[in-house]
Amino acid sequence: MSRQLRLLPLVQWLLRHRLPEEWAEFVLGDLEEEYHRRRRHSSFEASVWLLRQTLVCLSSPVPASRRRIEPLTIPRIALRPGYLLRSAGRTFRARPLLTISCIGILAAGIGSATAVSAAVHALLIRPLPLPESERLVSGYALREGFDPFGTSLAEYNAFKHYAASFESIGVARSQTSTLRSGGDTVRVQAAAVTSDYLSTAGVVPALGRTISPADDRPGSSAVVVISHSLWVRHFAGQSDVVGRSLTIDGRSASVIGVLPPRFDLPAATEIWFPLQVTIDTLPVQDRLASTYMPLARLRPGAAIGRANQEIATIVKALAGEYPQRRGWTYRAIGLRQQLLGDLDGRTTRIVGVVVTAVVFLLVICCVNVANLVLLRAADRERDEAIRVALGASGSQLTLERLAESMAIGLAGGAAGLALTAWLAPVLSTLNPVRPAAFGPALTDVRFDSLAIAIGATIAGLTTILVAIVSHTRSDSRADVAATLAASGPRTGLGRARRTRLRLLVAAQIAVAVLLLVGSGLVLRSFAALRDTDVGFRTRGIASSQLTLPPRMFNDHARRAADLERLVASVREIPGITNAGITTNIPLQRGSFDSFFTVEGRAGENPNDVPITGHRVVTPEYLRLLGVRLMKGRLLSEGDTAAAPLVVVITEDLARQAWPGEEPLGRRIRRGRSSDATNPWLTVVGVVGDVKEDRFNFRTDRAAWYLPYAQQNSSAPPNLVIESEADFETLTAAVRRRIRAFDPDIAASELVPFDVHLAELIVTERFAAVMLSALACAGLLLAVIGLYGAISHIVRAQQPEIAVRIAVGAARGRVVVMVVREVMLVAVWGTIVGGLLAAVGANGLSTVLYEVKPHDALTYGSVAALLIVVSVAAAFGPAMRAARVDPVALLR
Amino acid sequence: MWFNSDVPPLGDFEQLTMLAVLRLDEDAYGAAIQREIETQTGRAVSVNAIYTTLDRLEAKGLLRSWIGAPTQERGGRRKKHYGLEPRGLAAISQAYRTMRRMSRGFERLLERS
Repeated sequence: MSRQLRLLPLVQWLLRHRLPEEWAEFVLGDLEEEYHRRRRHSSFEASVWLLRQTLVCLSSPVPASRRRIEPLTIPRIALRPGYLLRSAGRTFRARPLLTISCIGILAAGIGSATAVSAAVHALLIRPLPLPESERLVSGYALREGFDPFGTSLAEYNAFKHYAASFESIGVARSQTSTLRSGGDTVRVQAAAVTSDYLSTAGVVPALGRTISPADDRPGSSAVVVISHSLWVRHFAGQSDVVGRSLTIDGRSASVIGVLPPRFDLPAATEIWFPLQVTIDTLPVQDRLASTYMPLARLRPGAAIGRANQEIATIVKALAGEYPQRRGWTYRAIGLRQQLLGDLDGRTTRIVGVVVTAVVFLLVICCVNVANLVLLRAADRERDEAIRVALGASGSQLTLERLAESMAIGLAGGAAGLALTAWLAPVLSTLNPVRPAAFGPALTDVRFDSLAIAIGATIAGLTTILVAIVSHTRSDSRADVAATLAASGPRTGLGRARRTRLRLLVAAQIAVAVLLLVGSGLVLRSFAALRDTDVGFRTRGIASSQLTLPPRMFNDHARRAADLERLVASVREIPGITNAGITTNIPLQRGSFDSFFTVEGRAGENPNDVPITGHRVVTPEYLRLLGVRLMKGRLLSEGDTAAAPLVVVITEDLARQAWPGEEPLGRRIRRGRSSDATNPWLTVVGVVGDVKEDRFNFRTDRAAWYLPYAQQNSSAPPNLVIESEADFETLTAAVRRRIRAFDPDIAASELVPFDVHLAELIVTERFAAVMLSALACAGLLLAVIGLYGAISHIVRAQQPEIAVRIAVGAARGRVVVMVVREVMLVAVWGTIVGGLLAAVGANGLSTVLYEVKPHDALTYGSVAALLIVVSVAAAFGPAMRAARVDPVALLR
Repeated sequence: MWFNSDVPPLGDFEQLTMLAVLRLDEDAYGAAIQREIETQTGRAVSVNAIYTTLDRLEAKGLLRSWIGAPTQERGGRRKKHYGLEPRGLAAISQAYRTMRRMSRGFERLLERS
């Protein structure tokens, strides 16, 4: 009796907690009844029987109520979104960290992809605020080895009459003008335009009219069209502005119209006035001056390629008419491309590379989230199998899981859009492209309805991708038994699941390798570009453009002497170690070039018109520029106006003029061979090659340096100083010194040469920074994915590992086993990624500088990095696995 | 109704349970069914398996259940009684007929071994 008293209450207490309420009464009643009946034969056997029944009830599921498993059908679920929301909410509560990770990763991917898409849209796609702006083209003249030139009036005239692809064409010449405003004189950007320039743009004036052909005739009255901002600023937006007069460059002109806001073609222009020339009667020199910017409108349906074919024919004919134009070509490009300064399409290609990288990052994000969702699904697969066994339908489970993916996708999308809203203005600021006109229209990255639509599309596709990758598995009831058998506590991970995990991780690693190789190549290219030996010093020197009063240009000897004294005075400023004068700042727009003729060189090919960079400098300039003297001497203070005329040339010029011969002591002069007006100059020195050109920055250019004292140059001089001090603070001191010397001389701010150089490669720098950031993010995500997967695999394998340790396997071997598993995945991912990168890198070849697309160092470093990082990620889980206590786990 | 004739096939243990319910008639409840199967087949059966099967058969519409009165020997707890539904009878009859048809001609062999 005592045993009965002890055993029955214990069993009942145990089972009461385990049995569903609606069953407890009957099961417990049956057990008690049967126990009493059996005790009549044998108390011991009855107790054994009772214990056995109790253990079975405790270990296996008791008959759960059918009413708990809601056999929902799809239409009923569709009518109950709340059910799915609750289901998703349950999942979130079960694993909040995992869910937040998924949402965060998706938000990062969707946000960056959307923001970059919005930036690309603004830069390359969004129409300019002009009618049918995609039909507008610009163009530039080209001569091998030189920066692109503007367009000449001769070319304009020829295109206007013979280029059938153009509906209309006009040209503009930019200039800085002074505008008398009240008592002050202010500088404004102005443009002299032909009457067809504004009509070609298709701009409709906000007030009055634009320039008519009658206004453009020589001798017509002076009229101007002003910008919207000038109208607001200068005329306070008064509506009676038309007919009032303005004093521009000391001349009075009457306002005939106001253009709409944001129109500033050709280059941030605020005042447009008619050019008023008759091209046919202009001197040849003026007709051929390449100082104009064209604006043409293609006929509807005409292609720019066709236009360029026509232009090639026209330019060839022009070269027959003007021998000076031999060897020149001309190229029409889209207005947008011209405004972006993307003459060779490099910016567009770099933007393409960044966009591709963002897409890859998005793919890694998707795969990563799919990976996490899959791991979570693995954790509860056994639960689901039991639910299926108890009557839950497969479609119900699938819908629940889809609802979770949708919830994660929606939350990630919403967070991604929020990220875009934050990133858009940041990208607007970071954008390295500085358009010549229509700046805000091209660079303003907006978080508008289009960005939201793009973001929503990306988020939708991402959600579908995540759902497909993580949920494609069979749910048939036939699998239930297999699932239950395979996911028991004493078995490892299912083979199929393990393969899928490995594939997902390998895919992430492959895409990360792709990103890393791409960014590695661009980074190495950028480093090569940055470290290019330009042949002169850029550190510690800065320049300031001097504006001399007109009276100084009357007497060259006096100007040279004055400038010499000015430089001497500037050199005395504390902190300035040296100073000099040059007519040309390296790497800047608008370099001066000159034809040259070599003494005694006969049989010159008439098509061969040799040109050299033309620099008129004081002796100190060459010294502080740090050019390498190869032969002879640099210019000296002794090279005065009275001394023999001398020149210092670069090696490239020496090679061109006297190939294989000694250049020192030989003579050369400005101008073509037929032009004998310029005196001969004796070569006294040869310096190393320099890369001074802005557009041909990567190539050596012939250049010569002439003493300022010996050459009458009307070009505005630049003051160049050498100092270790901060140039910003020096500007004030230099300006003070100049004002004290002559108050009529104006000096611009000091700009370090470093800045000129940095400006040139700003797009490359942007690409390098963007790609590095994307590649780092990709690597981090891939490693997180690898870590998560390997932790899961190791956890699932722990029973197997425990058995191995129990039967005597060394713990070191366990670590090796886990690391080998990771190495396998990492090596395969790296190989596939490397192969993909090798194929994809060919697309990069046009943006790479001095780095081959199949640069072994980059590929090797990336592979090594990936494998080291993967093994490091595996080490934690491996050590945990090795520390498993087999007794505790197997018990 | 046409679908009533389409009775589900029964598993081995389901057949035993149905036959026990048939045999016990009004007195078919968990412990009694368990006892009946053990007595007739000599097979040890857990109360858990019995209730899981009874629950499933009821869900399929083959059995019906009702709650009986509490008794002293059960510690004042009530019984859950089971009875065959017409569909249940049809299902067990079909199982029996299938067995008979399949074993026709082998009765002597099967009885002897």
